[in-house]
Order: sequence, then structure tokens, then C-alpha cells
Amino acid sequence: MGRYLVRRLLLLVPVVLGAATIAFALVLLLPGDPAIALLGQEVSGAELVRFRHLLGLDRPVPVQLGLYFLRIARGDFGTSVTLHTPVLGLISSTLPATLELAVTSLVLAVGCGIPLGVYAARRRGRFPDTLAMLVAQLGVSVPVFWLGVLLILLFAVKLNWLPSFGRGVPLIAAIVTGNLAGLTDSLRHLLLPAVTLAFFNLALLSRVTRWALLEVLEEDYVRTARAKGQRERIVLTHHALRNALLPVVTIVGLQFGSALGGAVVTETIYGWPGMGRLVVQAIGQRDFPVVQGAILVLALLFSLVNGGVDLLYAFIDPRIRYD
Amino acid sequence: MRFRSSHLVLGLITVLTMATGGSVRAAPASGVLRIGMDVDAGTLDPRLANDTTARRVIEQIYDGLVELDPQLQPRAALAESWSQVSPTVWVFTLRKNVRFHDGTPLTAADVVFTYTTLLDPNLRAPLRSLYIPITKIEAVDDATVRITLSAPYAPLLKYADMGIVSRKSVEQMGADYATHPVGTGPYKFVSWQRNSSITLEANAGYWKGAPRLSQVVFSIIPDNTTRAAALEAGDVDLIHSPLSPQDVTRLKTVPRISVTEMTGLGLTYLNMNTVDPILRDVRVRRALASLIPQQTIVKHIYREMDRPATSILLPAWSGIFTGDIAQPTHDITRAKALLAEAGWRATDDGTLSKDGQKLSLVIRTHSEDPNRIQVVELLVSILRSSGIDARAEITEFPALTQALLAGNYQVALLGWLGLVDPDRGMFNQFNSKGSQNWEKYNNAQVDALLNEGRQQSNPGDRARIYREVARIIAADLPYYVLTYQGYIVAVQRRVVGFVPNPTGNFRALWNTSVP
Amino acid sequence: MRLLTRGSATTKSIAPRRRLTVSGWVGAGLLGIILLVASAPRLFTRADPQGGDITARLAPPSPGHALGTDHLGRDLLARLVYGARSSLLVAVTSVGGAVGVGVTLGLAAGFYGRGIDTTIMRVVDVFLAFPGILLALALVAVFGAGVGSVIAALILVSWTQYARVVRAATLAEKGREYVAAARTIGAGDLHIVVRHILPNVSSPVVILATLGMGSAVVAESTLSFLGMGVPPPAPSWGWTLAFGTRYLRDAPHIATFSGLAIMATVLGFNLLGDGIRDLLDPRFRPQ
Repeated sequence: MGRYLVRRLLLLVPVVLGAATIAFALVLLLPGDPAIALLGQEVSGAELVRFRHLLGLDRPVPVQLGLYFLRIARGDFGTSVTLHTPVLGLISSTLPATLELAVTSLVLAVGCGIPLGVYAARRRGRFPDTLAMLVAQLGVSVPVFWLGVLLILLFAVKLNWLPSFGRGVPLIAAIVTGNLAGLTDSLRHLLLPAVTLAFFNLALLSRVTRWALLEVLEEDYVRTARAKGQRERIVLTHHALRNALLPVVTIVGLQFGSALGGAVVTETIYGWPGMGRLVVQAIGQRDFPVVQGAILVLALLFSLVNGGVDLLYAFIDPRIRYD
Repeated sequence: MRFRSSHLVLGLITVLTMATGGSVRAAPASGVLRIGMDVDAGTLDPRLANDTTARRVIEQIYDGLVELDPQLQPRAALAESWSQVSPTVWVFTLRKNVRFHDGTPLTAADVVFTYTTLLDPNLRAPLRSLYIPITKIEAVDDATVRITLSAPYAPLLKYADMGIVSRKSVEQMGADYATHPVGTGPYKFVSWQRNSSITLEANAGYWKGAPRLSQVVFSIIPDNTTRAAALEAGDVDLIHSPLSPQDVTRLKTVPRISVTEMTGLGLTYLNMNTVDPILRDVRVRRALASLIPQQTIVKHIYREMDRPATSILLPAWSGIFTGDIAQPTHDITRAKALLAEAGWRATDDGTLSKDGQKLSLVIRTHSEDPNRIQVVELLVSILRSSGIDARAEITEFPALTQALLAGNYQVALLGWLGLVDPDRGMFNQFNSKGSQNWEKYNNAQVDALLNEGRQQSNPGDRARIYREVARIIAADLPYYVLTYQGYIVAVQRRVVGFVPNPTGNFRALWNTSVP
Repeated sequence: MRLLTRGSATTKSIAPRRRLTVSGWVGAGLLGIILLVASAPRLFTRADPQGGDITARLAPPSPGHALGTDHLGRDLLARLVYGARSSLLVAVTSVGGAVGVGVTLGLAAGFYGRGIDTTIMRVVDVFLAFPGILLALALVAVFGAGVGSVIAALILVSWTQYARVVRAATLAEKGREYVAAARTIGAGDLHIVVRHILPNVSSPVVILATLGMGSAVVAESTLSFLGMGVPPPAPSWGWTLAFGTRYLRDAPHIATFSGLAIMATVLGFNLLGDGIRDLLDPRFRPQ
């Protein structure tokens, strides 16, 4: 187990390096100049040349790549061309917002999706099952941004129950300080974006849970437990669910990754000040340092999550070595 | 604890109840004005600011030597008075007893520092080119500043609203100054959550008197529709252009909200590359202009939020603007005749061609503005039905600007903002050496006129000069001006005393209150 | 991802069904309709998707326009009907490309193992390190707007799932008897891989590909919403939905119908994919 852990961690290194190189290459290939982002339409040809020189963009590519890695190793992610602040500072101020959204949506998806799947499995073949699965099927088919705009129109504008944009008090801060007003504010801003983001995963999870549970309920040891006269509920939770959760856990781990990606659109619609929105804007404005830094950080996060899921898997069932 | 679905459901219900909290939204605090903006500020250093949000925030934190009133006339701000002692020398007398937010007094040294650093190429100030005629700026004494120009420069006063920075703070903080601004303005900087909000509080010691608001919060809501929805829902108190036309139409019907429309300082135009083989011929440019259904576009796509333009002269330039100078209007017959005259004949399938080459045009614009995308879509379909092999190319703004700089385009739908003065709207665009003359327009007569206009302070002469330029441009058509952009402010009625300014500036916030 | 568990000796296996499920047929039917719409648009509408009367823009459904008009006065039904072709094209080619790349690399990794396997899997990991939509966005920005760019971006973002699945399946098949048998009679590597292994690893690929086409349709519309999809004036569902959401309050029919078109297509692919899975390989679970 220990050796597996070390091996997994070591494998992270080339992956992250590879991702960093791709991030670097992507940004280099983007048509458009950061000088334009900085100086706007008022920029002149001479200014552009001077700016490129300042940013080191006129050096040969391998040199730029080398310098890039050296700077990253020192922890210097550069300064945003449009926002005039260190990239690392921008990332550290926006990442918590994205994590808050992603984690909350995951909690929602798990908290509603798994019970729904269990419910449907227990009533297999009957009307509630069909209905639940139909809803789930629709859930994985609806585009996220459509859902987001609809929710804003209904809950924020027509009904005026919830705010239409932005983030409230950071959730962790509100919980830690035990500030009820802050907590309410936090949740009110969080609800619509989290639901929007969770919808797809919720639907997916309910389907997977239902499938996994049904699979397991066919297994011999379940029949044995039933034959021994165990109560159905115990059979379900003690024996079946625990084993069914194995594939579900994997999916949840992967969904965290997809939640980070899906946050991009959700953050744009709701004006949520997270990293997804930051990167999309940076791509549009050709703010190279931000794009590079943010993609690198996200890649690192992803790899850690994926690696974590694999480790969790290996931990839960030592027979399994996903390699 | 056992995993029980009922626990989860209970938990979820609790959360939801809390979240929708008794459904009554808390009444907004008095004395606090919440403004919805579309982009995050890039920097809060007035010398480096290049986006609207930055400018709006900076207007509260800083003062300039002058400020521009709704008629675009300069009035005293940090400079109590000024005089032009010779055609190339101006002297400004500063107001006494003005302090920066950190308590230090404002002196002429700060003014000199601001403009000197502004002119320094290493600072890369976006608006540096507007101040190039300044050759020397010096502090005669603590309260007097003398500016020497290379040649008479009429628009100088219009650009003298540049925020004055605190020399001491800049030298102390260096690059951090951009995120911790220190100025003399009516509101002090409190905090800045990137991409989320900027908070300011009142400067009780403001030289004009304490402002009426205790706090101003700028919230960043990029999506136009979401921002309008936020205003309607009461989450913000004030929003302004850019706005979606359909949102404006709807906001006008909401009783709690007051919508003010005025003609602004921007225009939307088609930039035609005058050195492109096809567009080189002025008849083709005129034909193109004649194919554009300007009134329809303004009425249906912009929903009359903007006005149809007649020439490069802006209505806001009072004394100079006249509607008598006009570009070619919508006339399909004339368009066809012009194209035929230029040698373009229809082939079997209806497309026009000359010497075996098709009349192909690519119309570009940027993807950030959905109205412009629709205009381009419409134009492409109209051109195609007239036999022109037209195609749209929509890219993001930086990619488009790069193409413009390289001259790598045929037609582009673009805009200009903040044209406080005809010089601002014409010099760099049409002078053959102009830094924004992407269309490579070259007309010696226009060059001479523009140079003269720059130096000419007499209003009558300026009117004559710029009208003549406009006349030539309307005939030569390096630009076809599509609309004069409207400037729209939508504000909750409970907000008192906000006077919109066509430049878009919010200096009126000093006198605004929220009871 | 295939679970490499040693199954219990007494596990009752779920036998693959002999016929497509009802829902599978529903999915096939939906897709059949959409395919028909894409290939024979004139059957469904006579209107011109490119021409329109701008003075009649954003009009709700009426006798003249069955689904109303869009933001430029074009008939919405015509836009959607002709847009079907574009959406299906993007879906099929991007998935086809992803399958091509992924299956080839997966087979190579699984069959040859060791060095090749490690290299390919590291490349997979690198690609998987990026959030899909961001990578697609950046790629479209690099390639420049256009159908080709969107397809290329979607291929690059989705090939990894096929590679992983095929590799796992190949590893399992590699040790089987028929492979050893084929070797003893002197069959070459390529022959073994293509004639023997490939057919046996194809079921998960088919399932994933079917579901993947649905995702591709949604991905294209998301890219359009962010301003990076198949550009106008081409009738793309994504652009129509993107513009429709801007006019959601004044002209809800645009977003409603284009959203429904997308949903119906994705639903079709999903139902069919589930049906195929029940038919071929019920234990398989895609992510």
C-alpha cells in the first residue's frame, strides 16, 4: 500500500509537467497579443513591439519554456496583464470561491442523487422507478446554461426569493464564526448556482446508484442474508449499499473534477467570482500569465483528485489496483 | 451514524428554508449606493486605467485639475482657475487646503508628478498619446502649475480631468498603488474583491464638502441580462450602458425604476480598409454604405437605444455638429449602379465578379457584443442577396485588434467611446500618421485640417475645420458611421440626486443620496 | 473504467438481453427522426433558414411561422431543421475522430504494454488533467472560430475515455487462449489486434460513443454560449440557444425550442446508448 502511494505520487510529477507545457504552448498559440488587452484600442505598432520585448515574447520558444519552468519552480506565476496583480494572488482569491461552489454542488448531488437512486432501486419496475429514471434521463440531457438562466428568472426575478448574482459571505467563514446572518447570506447566494451545477451530477448519480444497487442485490451474499432472515432494511444498508457504493465513490470523485469544469459556465451566468470565470475572461483577453497559471493550478488540482480517487479505491478494496 | 436518506432530506429542507429565509428580502441600507458594472476594473491607478469600471471608480477616488460638465465644458476641480498666458503655455492655480485621503496635502509637485509619469513611455499609459503635445510641466510654487506645449493644443482642457495621484504614496507603494489608491476625491477606497466588488466610503474632509452617501459599492456582473435582472430584483440600485436593448425596453415599464436615455460620446461604425484591392475603389465603399438599412438596424436591433448616425460628427459636440453633412443613405438602386460602374458584373449564379474574380467580402466584429454580431449577420445576408460573396468572421476582441493593427481585414464593425472632443474622434483615426488609422486612409487635405484643428481654439474656426473633415470623410467613406451610441442609466427611484452625464462619468455621486 | 475485480465464483451474472429495450427503441426512434430532419430538411420546412424579415424578429409562433422567428426575423423551424445537420455533423465527426484516436492508442497500450503503455497512459493523464470545457475553449481560441476547430477541440478533449476503456479490455483479452492460439499459427501482431481483439473490445466503445454524441451536442452549444462555437450565419443549435437565452423574457420560444431540440437529441443518444449497453454488455458502466 505504501509503495503504491509513493508510486502514485511520483506519477503526478510528469503529468503536471506535461500539463504545464501544454498550458504554455496553448497560450503561445493563441492569436492576439497581451499588449492589446493592456492598452486597448489605443495601442500602436511601436508600443506592441516594445511590450512583446518586455514580456520576453520575442525570445526563441525553448528559451521561453525554460524560463517559464524556472519561474514556476520559484513560485513566481507572473503578473496579470489586464489586472496588474500577481497571478498567484488572483488564483488564491478566486479558487476558494470555485471550491465552495463545486463542493456544495457535489454535496447536493450526493445528498439527493444517492437516496433517489436507492429509492428507485427499491421500487424497481414500478411507477416511481420509471418516473425517477425519466427525470434523471432528462437531467443528464439539459444544457447547464439554459437551466441557470431559467432558475434566475424564476427564483430571483419573478419570485424575488433569492439574489440573482454574486457570492455572499464565504461559507467556511460563516460556519466557523457561527454567524447566523452571515450563514443565511452565504447560503442564499450559493443555492441557485449550486443547484444548477449539481443537476447533471445528481441525475447521473441517481442512475449509477440504482444500477449498482440492483447489481449487488442479485449477488449471492445478499440472497444468503435474506435467506438467513435478515430484515430487508439491514440487507439493503449493511450488505448491499456498502458494496454498491464502490463504483459510486469513483464516480463521485470524477464528478468533483467535472464540477470544477462545469463551474466555468455557472460562474459566468451567476457572476460567481471564481477561477472558472477568471480563466474564461483571461482567455478572451489574451491575459497569458493568468491563463497559464490558472490552467496549471487546475491541472494540479485535478491530478490530485484523480489520484486521490484511485487511492481511495485501492484503500477500500485491496483486491483492486486500478493501474 | 447510519446512512439514512430521511436524515438527508430533513437536512436539505432545513437548508432550503434558511436559504429562502422567510422570503422577505432585507430592505437595503440607507446611505449605501450599489452600482452594477459589467467588467472588473483593471487597475485603480488613473494613469493606467483603460476600462469603464476603472474610470467610474477612479472618478470617486480622485479629482483632476478640471472635471467635465454634462455639456462637456471643463469646470474647476483641483484647479481653482487657469489661464492661457501664451498660445503654448497654460498656468493652473490649485485650490488651497486640499488633502489626500492619507492626510497629506496636495501640492503642485503631485500634479507635476502625475503628468510627468504619464508621459513616460515606460509607464505604458494607454492614453499617453493624448498628452504628447505637453513638452514641459513644472511647479512654479506649491499651488501653481505651468504647462508648456509643443504647439497650441485646443483639447488640452478636455483631457485635464486626469486624476491626480499622490506622489508620496506612489513612490512608497510602487506597483501596489494600483490596488491601494490614494486620492483627493469624494470617496475613499476601502476594499476590492477581485471580479466581485469594489467598496468605497465617504471622505468627510472632501474639499467640496462631505458627500451624501456613506458608502458606494460597485458590483461586477458581466452578463447584461443578469445585471438588468439584478436591478429589477433590487440587488443593485444603479446600472448604465452597456445594456441589452430588450432589457432597456422592459426596465422602462417597471414603476420602481427610472430610465434616462441621452446621446452619449460613442459611435458604432464600419471600418473599411482603403488599401484592400476590392475596397480601394471608393465607389465600392459607397455602394456598401448604400446597402446598409441603417434605420431598420437602429429600430429593430438596437431598439432605438442608439440613434442613426449621419456623419463622423457627434451630436454631443455642440456648436460643431450639424445634420446637414450626411453619408450615403440606404438606396439599393444606387448601390447596384455604383457597383456596375466600378466594373462588377453579375454572373450566371447571381454573384458579382470582375476579371474573373468574385466580389468577396469578409465582415468582422468581436464576439463580446451580441448586438454587433446581429448587425454583421444581417449585413452578410443582405450583401449575399445582392450578389456579393459575403461572410462573417467573429473573433474575440484581442484577435480582432491584432488583425486591425496588421491591416489584415476588409470590413470591421467597431466602436469608439469617450469622444469628448472632435480631435479625439478624428485625429488618430484619419491622420495619415494617426496611431489608430488602421484603414490606412491618406488624404493630405484632411491631414492639414486635422493639424490645424488641434491648434485652433476659436470655436468658430474649429467648427469650420471639423465640419470640412466630416464632409470629406462622408464622401470618401473610410468609416461608415452606423449609430450614435446612446447612454442609458437605469436607477431605482428611491435614489435621489443622480444626474447622468453623457461622458458616462459618475461625478454626480457626490451629491446623490439614498434615504 | 472497467472494474478489474476477481468476481465471486458464485456470482449470478446478468445475461445480456437478446433484444433492444423499449427505451432503447424510443431513443432509436428519436434519433431516426432527427436524422431524417437533417438529411431531408425540405420535408419539414419550406422556409429559407438564411433569409428573414428583420421587422418581424422575435415573433412568437404563428400560422406563418410554426415556431416563431429568431432575432433576425428568420423562421425558427427552418433554423432548427437546417441546424440539425450541423449539430449531427459535429457530434458524429468529433466522436468518430475521438474513437479513432482513442481506440488506436488504447489497443497499442494494452497490447504492447510496458514502455508504450506507460507513455500513452501518461499522455492520457496529462489530457485528463484539464477541465474539459476549458481545454476546448482554449483550443477553439487557438485554432480560430469555425466548425473544424470545434470538431478538433472536441476530439482532443474526449479521446481519452476510449483509450482507457480499450486498453483495459485489451489487457483482459490479451491473456486469452485464442490469442495464444493465433500466435502459434504464426499470425502477426496487427492481424491479431484487428481481427481478434478489436471485435471483442468494441462493445464498451460503441456504448461510450453513443453517449458521447449526446455530450458533443451539449458541448457545442456550451462553447457557443461562451462565444466560441460554430459561428454565424450557419444555423447552429448552440448559437440559437445562446441568443435565445439573452431574449428569454421577450421571446422565450427561441430558447425553449432550440433547447428542446438539443435535449431531444441528447435523450435519443442516451436512451439508445443504454439500450445498446443492455444488449451487449450490461455490466459495463461508463463515466
